[in-house]
Amino acid sequence: MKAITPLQIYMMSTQFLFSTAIGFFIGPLVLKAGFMSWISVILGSGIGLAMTYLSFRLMQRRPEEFLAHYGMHIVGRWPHYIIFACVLLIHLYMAAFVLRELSDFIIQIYLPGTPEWAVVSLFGLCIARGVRSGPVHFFRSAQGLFLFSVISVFTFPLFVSSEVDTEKLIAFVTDFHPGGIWDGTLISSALFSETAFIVYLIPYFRNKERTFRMVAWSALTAAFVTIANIVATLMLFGSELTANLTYPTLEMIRYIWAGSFLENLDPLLIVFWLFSMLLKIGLFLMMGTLITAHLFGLKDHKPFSYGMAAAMIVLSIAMFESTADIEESTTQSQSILLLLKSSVPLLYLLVDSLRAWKGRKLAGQAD
Amino acid sequence: MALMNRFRNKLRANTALSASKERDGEEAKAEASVDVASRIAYLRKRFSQSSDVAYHNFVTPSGLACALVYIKGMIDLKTVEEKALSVLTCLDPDTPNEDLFSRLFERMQLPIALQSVIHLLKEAERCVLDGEALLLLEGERRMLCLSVSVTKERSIDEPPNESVIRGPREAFVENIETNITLLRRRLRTHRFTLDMMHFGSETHTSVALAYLSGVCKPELVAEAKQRLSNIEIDGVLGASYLEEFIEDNPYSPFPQMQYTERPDVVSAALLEGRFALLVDGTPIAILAPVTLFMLMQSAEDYNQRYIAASWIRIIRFIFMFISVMLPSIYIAITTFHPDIIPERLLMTVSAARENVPFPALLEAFMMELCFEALREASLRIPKAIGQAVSIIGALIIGTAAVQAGIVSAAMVIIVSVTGIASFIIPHYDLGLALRLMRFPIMVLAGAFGLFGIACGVILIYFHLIELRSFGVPYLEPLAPRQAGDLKDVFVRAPWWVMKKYPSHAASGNGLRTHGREWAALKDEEE
Repeated sequence: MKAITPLQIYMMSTQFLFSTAIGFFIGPLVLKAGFMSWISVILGSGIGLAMTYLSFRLMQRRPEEFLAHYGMHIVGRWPHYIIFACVLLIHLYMAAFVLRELSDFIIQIYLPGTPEWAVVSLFGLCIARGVRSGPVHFFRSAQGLFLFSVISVFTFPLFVSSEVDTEKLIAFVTDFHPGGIWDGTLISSALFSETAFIVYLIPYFRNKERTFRMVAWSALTAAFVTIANIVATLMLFGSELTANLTYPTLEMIRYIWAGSFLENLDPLLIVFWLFSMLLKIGLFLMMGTLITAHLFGLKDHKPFSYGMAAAMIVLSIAMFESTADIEESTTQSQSILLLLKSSVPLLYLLVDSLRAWKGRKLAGQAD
Repeated sequence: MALMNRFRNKLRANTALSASKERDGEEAKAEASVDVASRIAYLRKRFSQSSDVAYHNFVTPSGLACALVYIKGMIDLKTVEEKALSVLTCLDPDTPNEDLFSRLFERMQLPIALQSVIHLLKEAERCVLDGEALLLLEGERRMLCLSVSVTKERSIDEPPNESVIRGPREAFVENIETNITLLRRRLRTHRFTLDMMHFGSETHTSVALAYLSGVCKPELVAEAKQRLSNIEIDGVLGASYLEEFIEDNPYSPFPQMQYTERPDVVSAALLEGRFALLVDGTPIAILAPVTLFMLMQSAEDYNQRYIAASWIRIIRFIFMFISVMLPSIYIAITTFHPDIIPERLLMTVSAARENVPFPALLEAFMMELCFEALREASLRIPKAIGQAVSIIGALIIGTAAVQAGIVSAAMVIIVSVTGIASFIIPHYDLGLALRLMRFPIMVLAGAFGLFGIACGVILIYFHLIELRSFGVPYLEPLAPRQAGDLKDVFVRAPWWVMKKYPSHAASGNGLRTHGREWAALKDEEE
């Protein structure tokens, strides 16, 4: 079982973090923090990492067990089932939500007129295939295409460097409004705290002591990639336009003009970004599927993989009416939901620590 | 009806059982006998339908009745006459029988290099069927199996499918012993291990499992033996018969074992800790475990200078991508993303497609299918008319179809480039699998553009990620990453850099090479 290497954890976490960050979060982030979004990303990654570290501490206590199995010994059987049912639903919702965000983006920009269900079903099939292969193969797949994904997202800001307005540079220091920065920090901390997923997969990791170090490196890499894209977008469009564009990164990519051979590189570059999006959605669904299997006391998650993928596809199609609804959800509720999901291990850690403290106290009294 | 069938089957089974019992009884009776006539009678009954089996009865000068049994044409009669018959018929008439038996069965005094004493009639039967000569003597239960078989085999030739510019020109032949000799000449070490097995209830094909002990992981050898031991089949006429039984995922279109006709390739694989299966009657050896990247390596890579070999290997990977993707990308761009290509190129492509009545997907499908048919036809038809087919194909596809407005000139170029690209893949089975993958990706490109292509590639990628060959992941050393093995993946590092054994080989064998130590010493002196 212990077959996921620290390098695979790094590569998966990095792609997991930057995929939605550069795809869908730049607009809402700039809306709140403006040119100071880069500070929000740094602070957010710090907070997210702190939350992940606490999850790591919890998982260090029982490194060979799944939280879904031993959680009931910490908070009690029924509270544990209720909490994990909520966690399962949040994971399923997040998978469906990101899938819907992606399918809307694909349909609007590249496949107008194509039925939503067809696009969602095709990508859902790919995700289901990945989830069915299991965590070990899924993490391995992240390793195989890591370089292509990272190079392609680094290419975005590099190619537009000649088009940027350098006079906007000063705004990265002067556009200071603490309220906005804090709101942006909340958004990015919700995003970066997603790495707390490690707590659900710990028995699969080979070198457990290095897990947090790898996650920290991945957060650093993802923060760097996100900031590079934010800076390039802001210098190209300014804060007002960036905040009001639905897909600012895509608009930036459209500025890329690779000589006389290729007119627009965006469809090609998006192919690689698409794979990191698959990893993101797939990991949400994978955790949902694993939690379901663990709650039912099964060792193998495979019987649930296609069923859960079907539920995700249906939820994704039926959940929202329009892109405006999705945008509203992204800015209003998604961060809270993500923070709530990432806080669950913290709750278990707190209760576990209280129990341990109480146990020690009782033992002291008995002595 | 079902009841009738069951009754019929039971009756058939009972008949077979009683026939088998009867045969066992006869065999036991003949086995117990020291009489040549009764044993010959048993063998005659067993080979009653084989008119090519010869029974040569003769008497020694002392009056001892003897018999030689063999299959005509399969033994060297001259050797038998000179080394067995003349010896036995020129014996001293006073030689006692016991002395003769002792000289023949204990001291092995017949001047034939390979001979063995057998006790059972089943073994005697096998001896005759294997093309050896069986010697029976009156009053002695033991029999002598004389290895005097002779087979007409073709000479060692150049490998027709894996030719190289620099490097050895020897290829395997159909005879397993010759093939083993070809390996022995290259691997002069006690570590070279051969495990002989026989497969096929009717063919009794000899199969050799070859590996270097200490270099090949013992668990890999054990796994190979375990998988092979489970094979039950009536006949094995080629290496591929075994391949399908022992591969990890029999439903995958991708080859999980490598085949080669070159002894140097097999030797190199054994030195890397892999094992080989040599099957009698086929000039092809199969190697395992294998990864996708091993299938992209050619024998030429290791005979050329490493810079040139690396360049060729990169070209090979680019064209592998082209062979799978090019028609799909063309369909996606012309159907969904015309904005990718510059305006002038777009206008040229549009003008070429103006008169074509079919959508790009159908046009590509028709052309690719025609190309596949042409390729298959050129492989199967006699060489003399092969050229004619090529000319007709080129004329029809290249000129007439474009002039008639059925397909566009751009599509002809795309299909031609794809065809050439698929020939660059060194391993035929891999090329075949990739050609197969091209069609579903084309359909996805026609329906969803580049998004469809990405989805198709992702599905294939997940399949490859899961695929294993004898426990070794198919995409190793890329996923899972084995940094040390990357020296021989996209490029071929010089020999003196590849110091360590590959990760799938047994550890603790030290280094393969110590590199260019003299250069380091010279640097230090300077």
